[in-house]
Amino acid sequence: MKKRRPIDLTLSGDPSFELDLAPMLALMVNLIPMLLITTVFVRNMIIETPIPTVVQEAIKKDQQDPKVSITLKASRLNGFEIDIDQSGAHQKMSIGLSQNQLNYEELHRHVVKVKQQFPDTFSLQFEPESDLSYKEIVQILDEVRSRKMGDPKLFIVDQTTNQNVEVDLLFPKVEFSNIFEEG
Amino acid sequence: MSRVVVEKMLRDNRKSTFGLQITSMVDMFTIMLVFLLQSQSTSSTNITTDQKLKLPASTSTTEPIEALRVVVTEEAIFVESEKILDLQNKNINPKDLDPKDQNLASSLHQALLVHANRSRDIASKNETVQFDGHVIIQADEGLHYKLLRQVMYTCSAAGYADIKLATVLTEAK
Repeated sequence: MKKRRPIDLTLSGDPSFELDLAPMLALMVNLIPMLLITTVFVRNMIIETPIPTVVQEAIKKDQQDPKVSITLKASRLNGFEIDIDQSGAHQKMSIGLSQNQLNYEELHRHVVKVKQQFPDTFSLQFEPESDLSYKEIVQILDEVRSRKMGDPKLFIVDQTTNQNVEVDLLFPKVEFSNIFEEG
Repeated sequence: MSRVVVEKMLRDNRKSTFGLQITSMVDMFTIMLVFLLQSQSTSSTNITTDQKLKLPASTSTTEPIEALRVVVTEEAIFVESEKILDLQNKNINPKDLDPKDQNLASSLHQALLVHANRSRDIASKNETVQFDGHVIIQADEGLHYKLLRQVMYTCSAAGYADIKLATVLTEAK
């Protein structure tokens, strides 16, 4: 029987080697300009603002009977006014200016209170004055649309399961109700 | 330069080639690549804005949809890229308003009707397309609600009742 030669496990020569990064570099040099050209750095979004046309309004009234109607009026002179119409009974809240500026924080606090009072209502009629800027209008929409960090939790009752479901939305359906007014 | 100095330089730099250390460059490129891949938009529709137009910042995260674009800058109103009317001190010139209805901008109304009729015509011939009255308003943040109201009213009168306002995404405070 032949005697096996012992395997030499000792390493001979230099065990380290140079990694050739040139092809990887070439790939990146191609990819990066392509991605730089196609990347969108400023992302544009949209805010939905359905308009209550006369027909839509009539259909809505026919189909459902809203128990609460919440109207938010915004003016640069008087600040904000929230008018809650609950089957004819009116409740009004006024938020004055703070240092001659619209008080957005106070508006948000009031809107959260209103939402706690009427958790099943998601629409709000918005009536801004003509002199308000588009920037201010968008900021108001942001304040009334959804909850912020630190706001109390809001729940609605799921009709099918009868369980409380947490919601982050306040009044996401904002309608500009004075679009059809004169002047 | 003296001959002695040149000879000394040649002696010191006998090796004319050298290895370029590219590891740190590859590191940098890898970081850039990951960042760029992460910031790639997955939305099928993108809104392009003019340099003169400054959109307001909003926390809204609703992705834009395919719709007719009405652009309102401080100087003019455009439908898609076509200039429809010039503004005068950030307002619609009274002669451009309908004499019977001071909220309706006549030329804008006409332009929108052309687009609406074209869309309805396509919808009548192609079942997969339908006219849903979507319009995206891209307005400058410094414009007053008075002008926006007239634009929104005119859009609504032309059949574009589902109005979407274009904004720039910002972090919630």
